[in-house]
Amino acid sequence: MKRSGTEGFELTARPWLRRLLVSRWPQWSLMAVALAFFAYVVLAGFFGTPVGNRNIAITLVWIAWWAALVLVLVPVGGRLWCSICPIPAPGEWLQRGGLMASDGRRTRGLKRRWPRRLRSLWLQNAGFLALALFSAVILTTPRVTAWVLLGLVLLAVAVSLVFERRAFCRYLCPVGGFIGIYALAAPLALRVRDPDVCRTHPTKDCYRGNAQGFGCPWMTYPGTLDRNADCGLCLECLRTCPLDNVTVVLQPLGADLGPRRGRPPLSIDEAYKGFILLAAALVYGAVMMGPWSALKDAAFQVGSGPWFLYAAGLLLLALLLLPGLYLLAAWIGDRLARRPAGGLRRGFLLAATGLIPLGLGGWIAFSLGFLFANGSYVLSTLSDPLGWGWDLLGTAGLAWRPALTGLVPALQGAALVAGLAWATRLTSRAFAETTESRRAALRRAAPVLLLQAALGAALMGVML
Amino acid sequence: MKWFPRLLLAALLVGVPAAALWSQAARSGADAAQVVTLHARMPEQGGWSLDEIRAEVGQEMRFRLTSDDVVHGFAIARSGMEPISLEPGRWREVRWRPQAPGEYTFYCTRWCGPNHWRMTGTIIVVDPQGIYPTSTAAPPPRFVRYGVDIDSREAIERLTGVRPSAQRGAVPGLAPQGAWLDPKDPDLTTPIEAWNRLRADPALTALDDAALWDLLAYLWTDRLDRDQVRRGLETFQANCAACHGPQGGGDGVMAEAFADPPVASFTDLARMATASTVVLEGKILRGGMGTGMPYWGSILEPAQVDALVQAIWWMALSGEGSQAP
Repeated sequence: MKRSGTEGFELTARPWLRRLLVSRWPQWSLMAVALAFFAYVVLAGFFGTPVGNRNIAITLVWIAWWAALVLVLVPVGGRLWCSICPIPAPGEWLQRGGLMASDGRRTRGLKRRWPRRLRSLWLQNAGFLALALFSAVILTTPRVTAWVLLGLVLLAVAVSLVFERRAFCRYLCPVGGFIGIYALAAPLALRVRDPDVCRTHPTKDCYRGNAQGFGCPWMTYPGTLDRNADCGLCLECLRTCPLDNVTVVLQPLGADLGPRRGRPPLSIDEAYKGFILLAAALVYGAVMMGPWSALKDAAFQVGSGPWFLYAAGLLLLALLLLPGLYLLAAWIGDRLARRPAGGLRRGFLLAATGLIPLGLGGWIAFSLGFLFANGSYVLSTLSDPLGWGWDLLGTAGLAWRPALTGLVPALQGAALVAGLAWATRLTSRAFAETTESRRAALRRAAPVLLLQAALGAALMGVML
Repeated sequence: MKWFPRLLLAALLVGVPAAALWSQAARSGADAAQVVTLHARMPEQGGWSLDEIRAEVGQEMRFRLTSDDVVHGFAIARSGMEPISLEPGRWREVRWRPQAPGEYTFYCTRWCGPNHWRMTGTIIVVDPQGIYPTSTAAPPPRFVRYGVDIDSREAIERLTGVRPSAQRGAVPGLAPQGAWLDPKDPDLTTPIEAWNRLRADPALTALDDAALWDLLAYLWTDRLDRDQVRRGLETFQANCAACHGPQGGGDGVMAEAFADPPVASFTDLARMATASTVVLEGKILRGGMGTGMPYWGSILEPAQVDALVQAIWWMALSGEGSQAP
């Protein structure tokens, strides 16, 4: 494959692949299949057995889909899932006035612009935390899972009818926030070949849309797109660009995680997303895999005194303790480096860079344990999706059997070590590229690297 | 082509579930049996999904059973059916053909929670043609016939802590001269009445009170059928130990849920001294009024009740606890 104007290998240089991506059918069909499964899952949650491991609402969503998302889709494809996610589909189809294309006459909704003050991840952070507090119940109770999924679709429809484009995906979806922040580590990316071509192109079809496709649903201008978090890989710009300047590439790992024109790669809301996700990985690991039954009970007994303590602990860890530790490490680093340029805020955000690979490693380790321990439930529930005693595929009677029990801890350990190593490298590079001298950069980074190592050890402690 | 996306979506949303339903229906095939689908849930969550099932005598029934929460069990009382275990989300099937009209109790056979004993339901078996013989009505239990108050909570405080032992009381050559059992029905005898009779026996004046209790324990347990005791201990461990404790000491894992009044301890002589076989039998059959004691009359066979009573006396007086003879 030829190398594109952007950094990486250009996948769309293959004519057959480009045709496949430009055509609406493959992507739309996958989205339709995902929507159908989504509908089955919601129905199963409401009408199937309340026993979580016997209901496809739990096994398909929280074992199969989650494992696919965390282990493959996000680390490799970034926001690839967003490109076929069924949650925004009904709202988007209503908004556009058609399932696949729009003739412009049947569009619905007010199409207001998303408020400027809310153009950040803070709402997504709050949404994720709200779900995280109830996660033990959501992950095990089919009816609750069904309500959550249905609630997300209804919210997406409502937002689509009031605001323009995919405001829900960009600013509200709690899963979208998770995917977006870790998509920064993924190699798959949509970029433009030559930003200058876009700059001088007057009609900006990629943002406004044309007869070939819709304007960017993610409210991103592809001409300046330089990070995966802001692109849902919907490929509309690939269809609309009249100058053939948009391409899909495989970029080097972590290409989005370097300093951007001297600025830290993460904003403060993104850094907080990193803290929240790292805290959630630690707490979920402790609850689901740790030996602490009191903690597990507290997480499940929603509304009880112990649950309030658990919720307070999770919030404290995510919003105060972890950010506080990073701030302290950044402050010590600044002191050691004798107050370098940029100040404490920049040091804090540079330090937060390592949260992405560290947290992703933690989530991969967590998901590996979850998948191999409970994967056999997926096979049995595919044959009996509602837990009604069916046996469509002949696998309903399969007994629960954890797989690769000897190998999983090693895989988990490898994921955590790789995440920590990558975090160390990224953090060191981030400080090196934004600090005057190599010696000062090292001094600045040292406390953060120690903190990262401690957090990596903590992740290992709860997962292994 | 505008219609094609709609068609595809409709096929996915409706066609696939319809195909699954059809496939399952085809697999199930025709079955002449009456299919009964039962979900077991903890009593706090509603218990069995059906409280009452109607059936016809001679008509085979196919029970499709599952648990929606914890491990339960299923059995039909007085049917000879072996209890089956119901694991959460797993489906089990059992067939049963009622042979006589009447009411049959189906119940949970696993301790699923403090209100486990409430998990019962009724199968009403009718005989529309009237060709099957009806079972003769059971006679009223003995506590009714004798007019015994089985709710009396009389206790003899001075006997608190006294633990008779049949082993100690088995002294060769030592035997009462007079009758020590109730002349009307030996099963009406209470240990304290028997002990008083023994105390009045001139042949036993040399024995102190404690030794006399040991002798009574020996005499009492000597009357028990060892095989029945063994069977009764098995029934006790399966159905009673969760509250009454594995040794019958009233300290089972569920006992805390029934603290007022406390669960009966069969090793407390102060209480057991005023009980009789008829009283124990009545308690088992009817249940404890105002206590957590369930009624077992619709579940246990008479022979099982008899075995259970004998096992209780064994635990109370043998000095060997629930160790089978």
